[in-house]
Amino acid sequence: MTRNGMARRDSMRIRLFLAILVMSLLLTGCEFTTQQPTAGKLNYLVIGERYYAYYSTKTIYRLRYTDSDATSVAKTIVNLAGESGMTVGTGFVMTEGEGTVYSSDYPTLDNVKQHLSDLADASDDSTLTIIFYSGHGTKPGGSLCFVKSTYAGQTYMAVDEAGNSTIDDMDFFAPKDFLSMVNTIKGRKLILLDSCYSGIFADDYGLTSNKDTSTGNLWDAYFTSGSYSDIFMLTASTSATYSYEFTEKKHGFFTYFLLLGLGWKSDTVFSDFQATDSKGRVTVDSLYAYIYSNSIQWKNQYPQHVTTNGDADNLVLYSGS
Amino acid sequence: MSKQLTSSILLFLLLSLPVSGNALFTTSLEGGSSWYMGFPHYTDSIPFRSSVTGDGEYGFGVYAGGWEVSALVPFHYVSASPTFDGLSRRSFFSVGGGLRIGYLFSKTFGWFLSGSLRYNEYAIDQAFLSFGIKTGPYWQFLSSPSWRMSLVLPIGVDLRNDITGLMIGLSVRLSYDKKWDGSEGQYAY
Repeated sequence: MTRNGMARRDSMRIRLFLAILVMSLLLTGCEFTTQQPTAGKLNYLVIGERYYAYYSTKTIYRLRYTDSDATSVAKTIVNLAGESGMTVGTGFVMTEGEGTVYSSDYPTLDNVKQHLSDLADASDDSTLTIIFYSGHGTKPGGSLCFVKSTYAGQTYMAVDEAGNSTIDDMDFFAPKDFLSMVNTIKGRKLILLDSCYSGIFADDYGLTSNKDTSTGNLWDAYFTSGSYSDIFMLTASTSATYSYEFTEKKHGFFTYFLLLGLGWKSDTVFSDFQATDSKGRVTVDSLYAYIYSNSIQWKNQYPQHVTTNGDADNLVLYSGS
Repeated sequence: MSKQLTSSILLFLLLSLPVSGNALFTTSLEGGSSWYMGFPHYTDSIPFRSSVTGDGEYGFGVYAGGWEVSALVPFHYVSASPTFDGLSRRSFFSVGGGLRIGYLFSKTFGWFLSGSLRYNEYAIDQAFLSFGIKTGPYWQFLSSPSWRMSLVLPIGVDLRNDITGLMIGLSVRLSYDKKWDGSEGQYAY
């Protein structure tokens, strides 16, 4: 055989090897050869909480749009389920509107815990549970705030002789306790928090294998045993910043862009999803990117930064048409 | 002890090559793509999730007697994986530093081994470290006194905290050789 002939034969062999290699890899890609599981149920718990007695200054801060946040988010979740081929299972909407009569859906701490327990009972491994909270978060610690049942439906809380409310007016749900209860729910969980300091939920409670992302601690993080979680999270703010109300839009700032990203135009009209990635999917990351990019232009007026947790997996809420 | 031994061997190689009399300073650029199979260290619906990578590498070092020892700066983009069971692996960028050793067995065929420490960052601000090891054959199909071009078939392992990535790919490597006095290099095999 001539030298040219041998070179041609070698070239053919290399091409054949490469073709077989590429085909083998494509065929062994698990995503292409395994049957997709059927979409499971979507359960949800949506909470709007307005009152907060800030005990250090004895001042009552009252949020204006948490009820509308909760109502719109609940409708948007139901729309999302329909678009994604999921079945809506168990859902609770807990709001604290003026004149609201106390009931099991009134957002007291005990009622919220009861509904988390109900969701745990209603879940299985294929369930996706979305938990949304719009309300106050405490400093320090980021605890979620709940008014006591005594004040159900009241415009203002009772005050003492000096005109101040007291810490006794409120119950607090610490992040650790909250996440501990959420972990009793089977399947995947998506937590959406529109409250001050809510980033602490993502930063400090083992929801990411890369717990501390400051460069100096990456080495330690690498050698720390990972604690993979099936909790996915988007929070309105970091662990050190406020979460604001978007006065112009009558919603929480974070919630407004979350709603738009999920196709909300009004409580009765939904459009295409706005927060899609390059593949047309709606994911936790695409929602993060959408909310972040839209909040940049308002950064002077509403200086808050959406936060998420950072494991390797990204939750896909809508996989494209 | 093993760290000291490894360091000593590498230092010896680095120092001995230039004084072998036939050593060239070499700088190289490599670009390619890999199939990335991410095997999770946690329970998942499938054994691994697939991504595609864009790989690049800049290296500089010495080349003599068919041996090439270089410091390298690898960079990668690992794509998101297709959706399966409601999840997709996050995409991330990676940059690092490491060492590469290659040996040319004949005029055209060689084998390389490299190791690197990498800084990786998801698009969502979260960062993590990983260790990368790559090895594989290469086919040096073009060579001149100063330039060499090779087709590389790297097989790599990306050791992450929560995932082990196995990479199989294809890349092209372009090397430029120069003598230590700055004159044009020579085909050094």
